[in-house]
Amino acid sequence: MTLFRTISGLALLLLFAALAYDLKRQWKNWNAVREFLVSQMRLPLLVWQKRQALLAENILLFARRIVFLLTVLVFLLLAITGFVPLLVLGDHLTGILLVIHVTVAPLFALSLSALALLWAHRLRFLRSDGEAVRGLINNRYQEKENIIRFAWKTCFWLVSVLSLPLMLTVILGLYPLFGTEGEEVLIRLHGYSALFLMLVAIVHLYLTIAYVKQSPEQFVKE
Amino acid sequence: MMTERKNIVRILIPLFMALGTVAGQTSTTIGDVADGNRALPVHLIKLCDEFDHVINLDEKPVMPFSAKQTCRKCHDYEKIRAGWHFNAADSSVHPGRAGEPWIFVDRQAAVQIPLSYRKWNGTYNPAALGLSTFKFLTTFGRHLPGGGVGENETLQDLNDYMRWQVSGSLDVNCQSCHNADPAQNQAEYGVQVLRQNFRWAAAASSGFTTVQGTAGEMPDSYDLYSAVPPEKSNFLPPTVTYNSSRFDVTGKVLFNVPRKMPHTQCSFCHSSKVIDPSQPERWEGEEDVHLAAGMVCVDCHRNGLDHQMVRGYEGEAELNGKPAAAFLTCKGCHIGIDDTSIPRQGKKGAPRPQHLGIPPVHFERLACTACHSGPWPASATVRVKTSRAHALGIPKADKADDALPQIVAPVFAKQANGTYAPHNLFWPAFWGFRKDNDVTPILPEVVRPLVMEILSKDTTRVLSRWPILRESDIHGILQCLQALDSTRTPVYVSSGKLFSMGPDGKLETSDHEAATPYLWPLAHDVRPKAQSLGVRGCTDCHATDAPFHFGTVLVASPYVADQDSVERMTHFQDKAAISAWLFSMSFLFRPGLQLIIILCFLLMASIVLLYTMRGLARMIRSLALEEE
Repeated sequence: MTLFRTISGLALLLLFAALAYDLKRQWKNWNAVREFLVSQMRLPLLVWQKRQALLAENILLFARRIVFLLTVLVFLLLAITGFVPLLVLGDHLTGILLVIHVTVAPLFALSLSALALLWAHRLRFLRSDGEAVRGLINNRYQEKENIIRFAWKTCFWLVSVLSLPLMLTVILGLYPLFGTEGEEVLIRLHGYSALFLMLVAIVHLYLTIAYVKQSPEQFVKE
Repeated sequence: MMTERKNIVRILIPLFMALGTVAGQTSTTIGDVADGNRALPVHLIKLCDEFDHVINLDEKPVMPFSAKQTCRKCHDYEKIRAGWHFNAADSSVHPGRAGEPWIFVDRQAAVQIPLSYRKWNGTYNPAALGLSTFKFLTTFGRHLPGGGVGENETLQDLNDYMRWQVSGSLDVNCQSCHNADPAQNQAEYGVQVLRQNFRWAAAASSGFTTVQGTAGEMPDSYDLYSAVPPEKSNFLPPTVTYNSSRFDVTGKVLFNVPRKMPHTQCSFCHSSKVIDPSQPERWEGEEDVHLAAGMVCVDCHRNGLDHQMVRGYEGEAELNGKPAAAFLTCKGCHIGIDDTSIPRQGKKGAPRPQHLGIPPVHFERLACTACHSGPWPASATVRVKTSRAHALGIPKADKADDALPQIVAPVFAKQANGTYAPHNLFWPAFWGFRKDNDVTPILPEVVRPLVMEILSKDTTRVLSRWPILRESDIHGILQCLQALDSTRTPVYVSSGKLFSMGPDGKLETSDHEAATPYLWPLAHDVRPKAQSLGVRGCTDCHATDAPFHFGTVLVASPYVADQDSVERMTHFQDKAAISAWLFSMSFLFRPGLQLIIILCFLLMASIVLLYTMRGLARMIRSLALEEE
C-alpha cells in the first residue's frame, strides 16, 4: 500500500512536471500556457455546440468526438475516485467514492470499447510509423509530426492493452476463485494497471490537445 | 579489639544466612516448577484451614478448609492472586479491551448500571453506587472465584469490619477453576457467598462437605468458637461437616486437578443464553464450533503461573508484553503472524481459511467475529442473558426470557481499533446529579421510595419488568431530588438520553456521554464456516435491508420516549445510513455491471488480438518479400 502510494505519487509528479516543462517550452511563458489550456477546456463545449453540423457532415465523425469526450470524462472520474483516497488519505477506496467508482467503471469499459471500435483501424501502425521508429533508432532526421503520430498511436494501443488486465482483475476478483492472497495480488495488479493506464492516457490526452492541431482524422490519414 | 571484630562476624554471618534463606523461600514452590513429565500430578493432600492448621475431623468445631492455605503449600499464591480473575481492583493493571461489566439492577428504582473495578469506559466503580466491597461480594460474588476485593483488606470499608469478622475473607477458591470432580458445585459456592459464608464457600463447593447455616443471619458479635446469641437462637450458625470417606488414613484428600479443565467449569461464569425466538429449545441451537471439535476454553485462553489469562483479542500481546498471546487470537491460530521465524499457525489443526472471492479490505475493517461469532443477525437484535448479569446457574435465578438487565445482541459496532465486531449492548438507566458535565449516580435507595410512592398513588399502574414511568413521573422525581441537593442538577439517564428539568421547569431531553450504551465485544459462540456471514454472497451484509447495517437495536430501558424505541445499527458504526444504503444499493445492479465489464473485456481483447495478428501477418509477409 505504502509502496504503491509512493510509486503512484512519484510517477504522477514526474509526469506532470514533464508535461508542464513541455508546455512552458512550447508557449514560452505561463500566461500563454494558461490561456492555451483554458482554450482547450472549451473544446468539448465547442463540439457540443457544433453537433448539428458535425452530425450532418458525418455521423461517425461526431460519434468519435463524443465517445472520446465521454471516455475522458469517465476516465477522470475513475482516476479521481480511485487515486485520491490512496494518494491523499492513504486509505482504501471505500464509502461513497467506491460506489461512484464501481458505478462509473462499466461506463468506462463501454466507452473505451466504443473508442477502440471507432479508432482502432485509423490508429493501426503503418509502414510509415515503422520508418519513423527506425529513423529515430538510427539517429536520422525525422519530422516531428511523424514522431508525435507514432507516440499518439502507441499511447492508444497501450491504453487498450492495459485496459485488459484492468478489467480482468476486477472480473476475477468478483468470483470465488481466489483466496485472500490471490485477491490481494489481483487488487495490486488492478492498481498498477490503472496507474500505468492513467499515465499513458494522460500522455495521450496531452498529445491530443498540445500537438494534434488539425482534425485527428486528418492527423492520422494514410 | 580483635574479640569485638570476631563477635561482629559471628553476628553478621548467621544474619546473612538467614536473609539468604528467606530470599530463597520466595523464589519457587514445589508445584510451580515442572520437571517435564507429562503425566498428571496426583493431588493427594492434607487440608488446611484459614489459620494454616491441618483439618482434623475429630476437632470441634471443625473448620472449613481454605483453598488458599491448602494450595499455597505447593503453589505461589501471591503470584496467582495477581491474575486476571482477581486483579480487577488493582489500579496498576491495564484494563485492556472493554469486557462484560457487573450490572447492578434495581427494578423498583428503575436502575440498571454497569459497574466494574476496572476502568472500562462507561462503567462506574461500585463505590459510586454505595456498594462497599462487602456489599459488592454479597451481590455479585456468586460468580467470582474469590480473591481480589474478597481478600484485600485495604479496600474494605470500616463500617463492614464486624461483618468481615463474621463472614471471613473470600480468598481465591482454586477449585472454582481447577477441581474437575463431578461433585464440584460452583452454584453452591455462589449460594454460600450470598449468605455471607465467605470462609465456608470454598469448602461448600468442593463436593465432600456440607455447609449449613448463614453468616448473614449472625450478629456482628458472633464468634466462630462461641455459641449463637439467644436473640438469634432460631438461626443456625455456619457449620461444616466433612464426608469422612474422602479422607485417607493419613488425613489426605484426593483432588481431581487435570491440566486442562473441561469447558463446563468456565461456563458457570461465562455462559450466555441467546433468546432466539426461532430456536426456543436448547436442542435447536448449536454450541461453539471449537467445543464441537473437542477443544476446551483453555486451549486458547491460556495462562501461566501468574494466571494472566489470554483474553484473545487483537492487540493484547502488545498491551501485556506477552508476544505469545498473538498466536492465540483467531488470526494467530488460523492464519498466523507474518513476522515470525518459525510457523506457529494451525494450532490444534486450525484450518487456514480460504475466503475465496472476498475482497481483502474486509479483513482490515472487520474482526473475525463479525462474520463468525454470535447469533446470526436478524432484522432486530435479540435478548441475551449472561451468567454474571442474570445469575445463571444460581438456584432461584429468574429464568424468564425477559429477566433484567436487558442486554441485546448482536450489535455490529466499531471498535477502538477501527474494526467492526459484534457486541453485546445495554442501555444504562440511573438517577444522578450533574455538575458541569459530570454525572454522578444517586444511590438507588434514595430514589426507590420516590418511585414506589408514585406507583402506590396510581393503582392502575402495573409493575412489570420496570415500573411504567411517564414523563410527569420523571419530572416529579427530579423535583424531589432537587430538594435534596440544590447545588447540582438532578438528571435521569435512560434509553440513551439524559432527562433533566429545563429553566422553564419542563422536562428536557439531551444527549450525554453518560447515557451512551455500554457495549462489549462478543466472541462466542463461533459458528462454522457454512454459517458465517457472507456464505450466501455479498448481500448477506450489502443489501438495503441487511441486518449488519440496517438491523434495529432495541432501546431496552425503563423509560423510552416513543420515537427512540429502536436505533439503527449504523448508529454504532460511525457511518451515515445513507452512505451504507447507497453502497448496498449498488449491489442490486452489480450483476449487470459485471456482465458489461465481461463483454467489454471480450471486445477489447478481440480488437487487440485482431490487430496484433494483423501486425504479425504483415511482419511475416514483409520478411518473406524481403527474402524474395
